[in-house]
Order: sequence, then C-alpha cells, then structure tokens
Amino acid sequence: MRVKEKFNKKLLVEGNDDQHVIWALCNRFNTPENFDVIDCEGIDKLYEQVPIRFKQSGVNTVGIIIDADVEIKNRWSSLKSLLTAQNFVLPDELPVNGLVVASETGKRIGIWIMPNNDLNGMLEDFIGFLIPQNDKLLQIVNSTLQNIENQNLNKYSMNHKSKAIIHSWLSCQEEPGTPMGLGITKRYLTTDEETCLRLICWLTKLFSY
Amino acid sequence: MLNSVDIKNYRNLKTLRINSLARVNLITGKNNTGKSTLLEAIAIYATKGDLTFIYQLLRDRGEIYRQAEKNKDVTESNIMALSSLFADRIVGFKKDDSISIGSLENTLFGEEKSLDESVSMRFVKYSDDLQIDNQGGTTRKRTLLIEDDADKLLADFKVGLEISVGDISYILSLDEGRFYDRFGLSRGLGKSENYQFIKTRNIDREINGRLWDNIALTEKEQYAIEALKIIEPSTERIAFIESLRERTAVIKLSNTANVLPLRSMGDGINRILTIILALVNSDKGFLLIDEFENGLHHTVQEQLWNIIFNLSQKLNVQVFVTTHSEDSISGFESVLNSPGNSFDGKLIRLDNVNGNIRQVEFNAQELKIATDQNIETR
Repeated sequence: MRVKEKFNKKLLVEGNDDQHVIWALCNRFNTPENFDVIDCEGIDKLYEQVPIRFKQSGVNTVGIIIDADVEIKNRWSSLKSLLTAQNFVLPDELPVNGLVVASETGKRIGIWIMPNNDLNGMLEDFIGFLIPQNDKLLQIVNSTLQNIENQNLNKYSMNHKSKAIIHSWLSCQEEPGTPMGLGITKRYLTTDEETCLRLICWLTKLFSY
Repeated sequence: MLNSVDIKNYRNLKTLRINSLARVNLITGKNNTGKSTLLEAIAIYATKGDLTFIYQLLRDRGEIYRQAEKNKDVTESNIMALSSLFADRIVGFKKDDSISIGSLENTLFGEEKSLDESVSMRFVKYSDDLQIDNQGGTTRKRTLLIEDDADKLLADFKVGLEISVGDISYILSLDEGRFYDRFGLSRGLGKSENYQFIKTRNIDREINGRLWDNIALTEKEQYAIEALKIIEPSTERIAFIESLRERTAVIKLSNTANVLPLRSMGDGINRILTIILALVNSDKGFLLIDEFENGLHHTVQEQLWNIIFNLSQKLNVQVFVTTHSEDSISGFESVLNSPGNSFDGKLIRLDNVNGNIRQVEFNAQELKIATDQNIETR
C-alpha cells in the first residue's frame, strides 16, 4: 500500500505482504520508527526506484529487501551492478547477516535477500521459519500438500510451494484468512527464531545510524 | 542556448555547476536555495552584465540607498549596494572573489574552461592619471592596479567595478551617484541577448502592450490567442487600449458583442498573457519565469507546458522556470514524456547543504519513474 512518507530513510520492499511483515516485526521488537517502508509493487519498479531515491532531498539511507526466488546468485549480481553504478563498493559475497555499506559520499545502503541471504526462496520461506517448532499442524499441512501433488491436483508451481504451505497453515489458525503480517501481530508465529533476529539486527544496524 | 552553466560568487551561489541544461529547465528546491538567484544569474549572462538590469535588480531588492539621507560617501554607498551581488557581500579585490557566470566546454584534454562569453564582475582598485597628448590636450588614462601593486600605491587609488564579457572588460567608476546611467559603457561589451524575465508578482506586466505591438499581425498573435483559450475558450481577439496613463489589454469573446477588460477576468488569464507575450518575444534567447504556478490551476499548467515546450522549440528559446508546486512538476513531466514528441526538458533541484548550494538533476525518464511511483522530487 502507498504510505504518506515521513522520514528521510527508506526501506524498499517488493510488495504489500513484505511491507506488513516488516511493520509487524518492528512493532513486535519496538524498533525506533525512523524509516518509511515503501511497497514498490514489484522487483522491476524497486530497481527503478533505487537511483531516484538517492536523489531525493535529504535521503541518505536506503534499505532493500527482495526475494532470492529461484537463484540467489542472479539477484545478488543484478543488485551489485545497480549499486556499483551508484558508487557503492560491494563485497563479492552477500554476508549472511545482510549487508550494510556506506559510500564515500556518506550514502548508506542495506541489502537483505529473502529468506536468509543464503537460500533460494522468498518472503514465505522466511515466514515458514517462524512457525513454532514441532508444530503438529505443519506436519499435516506438509503431508496433505504432498498428497495433493502426488495426484497432480496442485495448481501452484513448485517454486511457490512455500506460499501454499504458509497460507494453508494460516488458514487453520484461530481466524482463518489472517495474512502473514497479522499472523506475527496475533502471535500465531514466533519471532525469536534465529533468522528473524538476524533480520532485526540488520534493520537496526542500517537505520539506527 | 546554454548547454551548461557555471556560476561563482553570485549571491548565495558560491559555486554552482550544472553540467547539462535542457531547452526547458524546471528548477525546484526549498526556500533560500537560490532558485530565483539562478534566474537572475542567467539574466545577467544574457544581458552581458548590463548596468540597467543590475540597477533594477538592486532597486527591486531595496539595495539602493538614497545617498542624501544616509549622509554617506557616494562611492561607499555604491560599493555597499553592488556588494550585495557578491557571495557573503564580500568586497574582495582578488580574481577568486569575482562573480563569474558562463557555460563550460570540455577541452580535448578533459579539462573544463569557460567559454568566451562568460560574464564576470569584481571590485578593483584603479588610478586615473592625466596625460598630456601631443596636441597639448589632456586625457585621462585609467590604470588597473594589480593586486600586488595595490599596497605600494595605496595612497592614491579609487575603487571601481570591473565588468568583463570574455576578454573585453571595462572599469566602472563608482564615485558618481548614477553609475547605472552610463549606457554607453556596457554597450561596449556586446549586444544583450534577447530575454524576458517574469517575476513572482508579475501577473500582468506594464510592458505587455509593447510586447503585443511587436507581434501584432504576425503568426505569433495567433499563438497568444490560442494560449488564452486555455482559460477562456471563446477568446476571439485581444487588443491594447489607452487607459489613464497606461495601455491595458481588452478581450473580445465570440459569444458577446462587448469588449471586456482582461483584468476583469481573473489572475489566471492575465498571467497566461504575460507568459505567452514574453515567450514569443524571446526568439533565440531566454525566457525566465519565477514561480510558474502563480494564479494557475493545475489543469491549466499542463496545457501551458504544452505550449511552452512547442513554442520554445519552434522559436529557439531556452526556458528557465522555478516552482514549489507538485502539480507544476507533474504537468511538466506529463508533457515532457507525452508520446509522439521529442521534447528536451529536465528538472533541477537546488539543495542547501551546510550553506553550499548543490544541484540534483532529473532527466525525463527519471522524472517519469518518480511521477509514476509517487516519489517526491521537490
């Protein structure tokens, strides 16, 4: 969703779900409210926005959260060329704790590639990490989906399996139809999981400067 | 047309360099970032440092003092007024203290140097020596005292303002009250380029009648009528008539026999007439408009941009416009990127970074992304 922007630090995300998940996490962890979370409506538009954001009056910190999708190496290399053109010097490998670098002119960029800066996948894989350990429902969701796939009744592609899992799981909570962000707020999902804590560390390091 | 501009020491623009300018340049930025100052600098460049223009500028800003009342030395008052043109009002005598306004070109070696027609101004120390010529008459010889000499000859010098265009320069003496009256002097520096400067408060300019006379019965007259139709579609003709001491515009609408004073029809249509008359009178020169949006509804602004982009191309006018308005920027973007046209325009934002003015440029494509994705460029 479009927001009225209030801050000179921006976090660019691909979609509405990412935006609400970040808001819910920040609430949960009480992180200082000092950056706008911008729903760019897709990866292409997000890439287009980056150079323009750095031209905005007073903006010197921009964070990016994107999905690795099928090949995290490709995402990382396309981001590298985009940001090298903005005079950032980036390491060869994306650090697993997320990247925060400053340019010589004092501009700061942060990068987090979902789910965990290492695996292929997307936001839904990250949310999958937040399902409580040894959750019995998850085991049933997994076997049910497996059963559906065995009979070729699944209409989703295998790239989107994590979406099928998380939304099936959410649909069986107290209030069916709860989206991922609210699932955090309502505490269906845990937030003391290791990847989640690393994401919060990255956000704090990037924006509490 | 200026392809780039490099300004030094002009008011708050201590060093401002814009590497590429377009045909139509929209300038935005917070208060006190030097938007109007940039327009003034372009005007000084266009007039080749014309004294009448500079005097007008100083008077508009309240920098001309009435010497008799102030009980001050004439030279001192003149220096005080003129120093307001210089960054931090510094009365320096060094080359580095000069105001300079010009464009840049890249030499073969990748260095930048000023192009020939750069305008520069600085305070200088000089002496006037009487010389006896071979017929026995006396002439005055004006000698510029170079910086190092100044101390040695401290006893006997005057302070003047050196104005140069490229390699040609003269020293303006400041020991008379009406320094600006000496038209002949500035003429030596070359003919002023064609330009029109519409200030913030100019809804309707006194010179509109004269500008109209220049274009009456030419095809430009039709351009003016078409522009007025943006606001009043039934505009048929306009004319200027004598009323009291001035000439004012009247308008004839197609649906009525009466002729109406244009002033009775609101700020918008008067502002449009002012802008269009200035535009069609700036052929091969510069059109400068301070605060584009004044008096204009946002739907009107977009149509006016369309006229400005088209006519500036046709008449070879370079346009510089300032704005605070988001509507004005989005109308500009929409015309600039309208399909089927190849308009040349850009947005330039001036930022004040710890007292230094810096520019940020947005080309047509960047402006489109910003507008489509709702990113604030102001």
